[in-house]
This record gives sequence, C-alpha cells and structure tokens, in this order.
Amino acid sequence: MINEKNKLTGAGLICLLLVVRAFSALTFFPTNMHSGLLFIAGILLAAPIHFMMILPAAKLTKYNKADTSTVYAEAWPFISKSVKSAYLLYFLYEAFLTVGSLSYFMDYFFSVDMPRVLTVLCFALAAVYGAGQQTSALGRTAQFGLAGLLLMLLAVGAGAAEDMQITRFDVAVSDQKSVLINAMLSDTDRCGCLVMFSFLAGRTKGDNVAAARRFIVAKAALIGGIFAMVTAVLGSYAARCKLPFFTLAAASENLITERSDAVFLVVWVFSGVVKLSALTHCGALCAEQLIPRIKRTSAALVVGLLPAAAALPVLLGYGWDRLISAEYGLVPNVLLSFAVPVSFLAAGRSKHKFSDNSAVLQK
Amino acid sequence: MKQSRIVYLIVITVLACIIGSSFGRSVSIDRRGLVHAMGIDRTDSGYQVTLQIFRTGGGGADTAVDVSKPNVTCAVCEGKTVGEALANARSATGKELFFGHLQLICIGGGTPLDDPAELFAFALGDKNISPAVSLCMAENTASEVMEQRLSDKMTSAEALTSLLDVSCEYSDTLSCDLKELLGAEGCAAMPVLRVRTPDNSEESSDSEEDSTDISESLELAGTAVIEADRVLDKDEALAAAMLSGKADKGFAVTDIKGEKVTCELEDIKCVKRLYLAENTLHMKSTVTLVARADLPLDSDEALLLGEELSRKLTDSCSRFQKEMLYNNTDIFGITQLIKHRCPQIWLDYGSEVLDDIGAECEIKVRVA
Repeated sequence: MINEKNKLTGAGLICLLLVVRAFSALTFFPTNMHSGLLFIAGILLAAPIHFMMILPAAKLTKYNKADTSTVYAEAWPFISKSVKSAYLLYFLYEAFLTVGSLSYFMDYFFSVDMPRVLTVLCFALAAVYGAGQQTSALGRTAQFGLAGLLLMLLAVGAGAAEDMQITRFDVAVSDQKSVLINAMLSDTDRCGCLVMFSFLAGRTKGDNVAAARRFIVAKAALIGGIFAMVTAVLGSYAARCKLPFFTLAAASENLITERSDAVFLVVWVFSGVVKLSALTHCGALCAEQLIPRIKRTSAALVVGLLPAAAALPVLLGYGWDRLISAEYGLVPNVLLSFAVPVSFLAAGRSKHKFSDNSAVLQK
Repeated sequence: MKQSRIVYLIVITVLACIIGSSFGRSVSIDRRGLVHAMGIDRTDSGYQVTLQIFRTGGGGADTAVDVSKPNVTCAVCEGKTVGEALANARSATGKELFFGHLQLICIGGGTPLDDPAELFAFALGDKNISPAVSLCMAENTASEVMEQRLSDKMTSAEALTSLLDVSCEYSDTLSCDLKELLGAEGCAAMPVLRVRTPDNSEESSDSEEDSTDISESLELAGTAVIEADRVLDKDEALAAAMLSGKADKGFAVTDIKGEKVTCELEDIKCVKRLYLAENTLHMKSTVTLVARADLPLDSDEALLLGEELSRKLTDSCSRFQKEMLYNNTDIFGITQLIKHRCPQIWLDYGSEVLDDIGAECEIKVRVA
C-alpha cells in the first residue's frame, strides 16, 4: 500500500493536471482556429466527453487502490506489463515533446547565447530532480504553479481589457460543424492530462470521481478563458502569430509595465518544468514497476535524460518547427485514458477478478 | 551515497558549463540600440528605414539622461525589404538593435499599403515588437518626421506618441495599431503628421543636440483612411471616432441665437444595432454624449443648444457614414458587427452587404 503521506490530495491532482494542460494550451496553440467562438464551444462540448473518458479510471480506483497500470499485475502479468510499457512509452514521448518545446521556445523568447544542449540539459535535470520527489510534493508544487498561472492570466487580462471587443466572437465560417468537430479533436489531442489522470488516480486520496468532475469543469473554464482572452483582444490577428498568448501578453499594458510578456514567461517556464517533472515522475514509476530492481533515482535519471537525448538531434538540426505544428494524434490519449481502464473495469465487473495489488505498490 | 555524489557532480558540471558558455557571449547594454520609433519610406530600389535610437544626451556621467535634450540619434538605411533595411541598419550602427521598446511606426506618404502583411513581415517575425505599437502616416516622408528631434518628453518618440495620444483622446484623429491594421476587421484609419516648415530655414541645424518643441516642428495633418486614399479633416475625424466607438472627448462649435458657443464633449458612447427590414440589412448607431458649454446658459438655452448640437452632429455623421459606406470603406467596425450578429448574411454576401446596408445614426446630447 502506498504511504498515505506520499499520495496526492484531490486538490493536488487537479492543480497538477491543470498546470499540465495549461502549458499545452499556452505553447501548442492550434493553427487552424478559424473562429475563436467555435473553438471555445468545441472545448466546452468536449468537456463531458473527457469526463466520460476518465470516469472508468476513477471508478477503477474504487475497487482497487491502484492505478490502471497495476490493476491486473498478478492475474494477467503479460497484459499488465504491456499496459505499463504503453504508459512508459507515452510518458517518454510527451516528455520528449515538452523538453524539446521548452528548449525551442527558450531560444525564441530569450535569444539566449547558451547552447541548446545546455538548455535541454538544465530542463532535463530539473525534471529529474522533481521526478525523484514524492508524488505529493509534485502536487504541492503544482498548486503554486496554478496560483501563479491564475495571477498571470488576471494581470494580462486586466492590462488588455481596453482592447477586448465582444464583436470578435463570431461564427462566420462556412462549415461550422466541421470547425466545431476539429476544435473538439484538437482539444482532445492536447489533453495528455487525461492519461496522467488515469495513471495517477490510484495514487490520490479521496473520491476520484468527484476529483474528475471538478478537474474537467476547471479545465474547461481555464482553457476556454485563455482562448476567450486571445479572441477578444487579437481577433483574426491571432492567426498570424506564432504564439498568440505571448503576443497577447506583449500587448497587455498596465500602470507598472508597458508589456506583460515577462510575467507570462516566468509562469510558462515554471509550468513547463512542473509538466516535465510530472511526466518524468510517472515514467519513473512505470520503469520501477517494469524493472523491480531499479531504484527511483536511477529510473528518474533514465526517464528524464532519454527524451532529452532524443530531442537534441531534432533541435540541433532546426527541425522542431515541424513537430510543434503537427497534430500528434489523439489515439494514444483515448487508448490510455479510456480504452484500457474501461476494459479493465468491464473485465473486473464481469469476472470479479479484482485482487489486492497493494504489494506491487510498496515501492 | 555514491549515486547521490554522481548526481551532485553532474549538476555542478552543468552549472560550470553554463557559466563557462555564457562568458564573453552576452550583449552588454551599451552595445544594444534601443529603437523607440521607426519610419518606413518607399524608394525606387525598395524601402528606406529611419530609426530613432535611444542615446543619452546628458552632459555629465555616461548614463545621464538630460530631459531637455532629445536623447535620440537617427540611423537611415535602405534595403529591398524592410527586414533587409533593418539588417543593414544593424551593421551600419554597429549595435544590436532591440525593438522591445518600439512605440511608433511612421509610414511615408508614398508607401503603398495594399499588402500590409508583406510590409510588416518584419514585425510579425519579431517577438519583441508589440502588436500594440502605434502607427501613423507622414504627409510627405517618414524620414523627415523621424528626424525631428523633440525635447518635450524624455525621448523624441515619447513626444510623438504623446501628440498622437492626446489627438486621439480629443477625437481629432483615430488611433491605429499593428493588430488593427493586420486584422481582417475592415479598413484601418491612422493619423497623418506634417512637418512644419520653419519660418527661418537658415537657422536649421543638423546637430543632434539641437532640439525643438513639438508645437514648432510637427502638427496633425488629418486622418488617412487606408484603401480609400482619403484624408479626413477634424470634423470628419470626430464623426468617424464617434461612430466607431473610439471617441473619448471632443469639442464642437454651435450657433445659439446668433452667438457662437463652444462645447466640450465628454462621455461619448456609441451603441450599434443591426436589424432586417424589407429584406435589407439596416444599422442604427446611437451616440450619447455630454456637452459642456463655455458660456453660462439658462434651461431654455441649454435645451436649444442640445437640439442644435444633436442636429448638427447627426447631419455630419450621417453624411460621412453614407459616403464611406458608398465607397465600401468600413472604418466603423460594421464588418465585424455583421459577422458577430448576422454571420449567415456575411457568409452569403461577403463585403457586398455594405453596399446595400441602410445606415442611420442618432446623436443624443445631454447639456451639463
């Protein structure tokens, strides 16, 4: 059984997932946003679907205080190992995208003279350090991150309030249904947080179904709010920007500063490090379960440095542009956040094969 | 224990690499050229760019800023595109140009604006240039506007933007920034500046330390409407500002019983309403404002003033709006309003809907 002190609280889990999702929203802005209002509608319509996607994982923890990757460890070891491997590969890929994007945009924002190798290494080591901590520590750090994020959104919004116009919200696009569906798919594509929920639900205290519900509502409000601000201030100009929210922050003026992009960058870097740490932490947990002899520190080191090493050739070859503009497929998100937990839930209900896998999680 | 030592060793190595790699490669502040304003002019071979770069004019310490001096130096460069001209400016000035504090872009009178995205590609590609940077036009060349060294504020660019801000606040012209020009929300309109010809041209000097007051060197020449090749006068600018919802304050002169009364206009708000009548789209703009007369008036005179002012402003706004819409020039935000309220009409007819739109306006004046 996991030590209760090391478990995430419900609030910690929600904050962690919101920070992870917000980082994706601020970094990987969709390039095909023809109508901001339809995109926001797509995000809101996708919310109940996302709730249904993570509900099986939340219900699974009611029967077995373990995460999706360990629930059939004894009964079906091969399937369990396959699921753990799938989660590990997913977290490694997400970490690869995150560390590469952090380094790429650090170069873009700051025009640093520091070589990209060292930027990647710094982020990777920060993530390794964070991943070596207990899960509860990540949750507490994410709470700070979310507080900073909300303050930043407030500051940027207040500074750009004068330029906001309600008329920029329009649905004047030729195929509204198609745009709406694309918005829902695009939002689901960026919801790696759903996979993280299904993985971490077993390591969270309290009622996971309630946590799932609150998380989905908060996510829809936060991401919808970000898109609403960008649409209200920039309108069709957002389509010309590489990073629309950064451009919005640059246009936000207040009594103290002429532009608020510095505040945005601080929060963005912090959110990125939290996300990378969370992904590395989850990957390290998977590695520990797959290779019982490995220690947490070593697992975190391998899982942290491997994506960084994979990202370097792409970054040094200046090929990262192609990666960030690609929609990287929602199939893994749907499989790992919904298909796997719902299969286990259905199998468990029909055959009553849930067992106490607490011994597996004593690490 | 051994493992933690290895981890600490890696961390220390990385830190040492960071410190070692940044040594001697950072750009010190004195090697940076802080560009406060820029002018763009079209030439036969491409574009000419005139940059106002911050330079302290203090007479004591190296970093002292003397507010009685213009504190700028000008750099002029040419290139096939604006981006190339800026790259040439970098090598010509020997400074790493920084556009994070760019406040104003002045476009020369002869510079074509049929493809603003191509002209401002340098701004779209540069993360340091804020989309809220002000835009204006020069009656002749942007270069002559940029070369005016103004000492009203700490820097020349601040004096220029101050002139534009005050003019826009009092509805003498319409403000314009980069995102308005590059967003697809209708036509943009921007202030036009004119360089005053000095009375005694023999006394002009090329010294960078000589400075002038803005009132002596520059004045507002009108408001340019992009895509319409038209310059609005102050009355038309007031009407445009009121109908587009950008008016904050203004002034108007009216005749009451043979006497001229100057009124300060405040609290100007505009509400637009779209409706369909007889298969035609109609738009009604209702502007409410408060007028303060410079003469003491009794209640009858105040009522008469309100009616007369309302009639006069309504006539000028209606006439102006009809003329603009007849030429398919939307500087009032009607395009975006139609997309917002009647998207299907926009999808069916596009910008042609502006040709047949029935536009009316009503100005309600409350005399304070």
